[in-house]
Amino acid sequence: MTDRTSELRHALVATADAAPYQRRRPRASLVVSAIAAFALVGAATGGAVASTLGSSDGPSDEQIAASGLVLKNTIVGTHAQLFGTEYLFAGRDTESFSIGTRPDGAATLAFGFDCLDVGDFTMLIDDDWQMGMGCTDESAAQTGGGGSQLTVTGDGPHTLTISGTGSYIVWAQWSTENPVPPSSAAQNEAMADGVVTREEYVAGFDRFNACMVGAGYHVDGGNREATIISYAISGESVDDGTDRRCYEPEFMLIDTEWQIAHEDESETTDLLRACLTARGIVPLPTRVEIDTQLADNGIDVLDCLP
Amino acid sequence: MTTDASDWRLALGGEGEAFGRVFDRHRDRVYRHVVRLVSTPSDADDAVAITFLEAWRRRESVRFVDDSALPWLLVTATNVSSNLRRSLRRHRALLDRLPPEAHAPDHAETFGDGDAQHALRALSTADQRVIVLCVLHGLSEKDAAAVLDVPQGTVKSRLSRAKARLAAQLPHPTLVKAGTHD
Repeated sequence: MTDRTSELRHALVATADAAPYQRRRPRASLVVSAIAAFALVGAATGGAVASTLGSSDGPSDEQIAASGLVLKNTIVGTHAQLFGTEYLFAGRDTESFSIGTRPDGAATLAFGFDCLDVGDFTMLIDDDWQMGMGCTDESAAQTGGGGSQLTVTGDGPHTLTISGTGSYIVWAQWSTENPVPPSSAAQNEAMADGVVTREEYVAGFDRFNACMVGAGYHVDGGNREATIISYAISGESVDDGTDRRCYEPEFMLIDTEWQIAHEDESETTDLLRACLTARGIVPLPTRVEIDTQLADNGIDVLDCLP
Repeated sequence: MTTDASDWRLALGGEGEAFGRVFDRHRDRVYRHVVRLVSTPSDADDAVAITFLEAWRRRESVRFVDDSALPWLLVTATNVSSNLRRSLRRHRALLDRLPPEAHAPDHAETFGDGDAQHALRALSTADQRVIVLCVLHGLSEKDAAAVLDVPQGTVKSRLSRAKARLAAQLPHPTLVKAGTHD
């Protein structure tokens, strides 16, 4: 291998290893309802697979393992301690899986679900409804998915049931969530009147940025003049918990409130409007409608962004 | 033994080495493909690098045929070669960090202006795509349709048109009638 080829290979591997964690708000279209927080795909770290049940006509073992890694990191990351056996199942339509009894010290069941087909699915534990999830073409095509920390009552042994039509991969492990860093006084003050101003939004980002820099990480981008400040952070800062320690106390509540209030006027939405217009399609007013137009016309969002 | 499809999922999950394995499998094939489409060896080096960088940038859109990413990479390489200047701007920062390749003449990688090579370059990018997949790499019209994300009938009609245009670009052999010597 020549020096150039070797250097290129090294750069590609490093790029994939350090894929920045782009913070995105959960997309309502993917979630029918859920008890607790829902997370989208993120970068994955390692993890052992204790139990794999693949079917002959279902996903390959490699696909199951990859999905498990992504789900584990997405749902748990550094947010919880894990206990006992790690469960990884591939299933189709309505199936039930044994998840044993809750180990001492575990409070919840960390649960991740990666749908491989379009459809609506319901998750039950011991016949008690836990959450529902709707899978679109887009979510079915991605590796990884969503999930939650589920509260399980009773002594067990417990049974997890997925009800629906289509194929899927399930990852689960008993866990206890780490304490959530308390919101700072500054963030609480910004949220007190229920409205986030531009000044409060930018100040919140600056506090988050300063916290990350103080911990030795760089925040890429961060255009403070933009309607929605777009930035990226390293996967490593997510893996070691620095992101959470900085984001949640200083910026999470403010960021969420601001993004919801301004998604129709963000720079990204403007680019998507221009993309539709360039293809002879008149963009509809809201971001939700624009996302639907892009999907309906088979336009890849990545082709619309610089 | 991993496949491109399984390695791609692992790479998407954060295992960079899996992306490296996809690169190892297909770098040479992509290079041999782009040398037909660009003018100089250094352009071919850049086109290879950009093809894999674009593959990662568009990582959620990569399509597989029988678990292989090669057809998708070849189509991407065709597009990159057609828009090399624009593609270079997007990835300039990384390309500038790579050392230059020391090119030794190789019969398999000669940048000659053979008739077929010249004719291929003269085709539109859309025509090049179907010729590359169906003629040079032997994909079925069905598999090519899957890679290009168009109906099979579209591939059939494009292929027919591209072959006709390719034939029109190539010089015709001189026909000599038998028994007409004066």
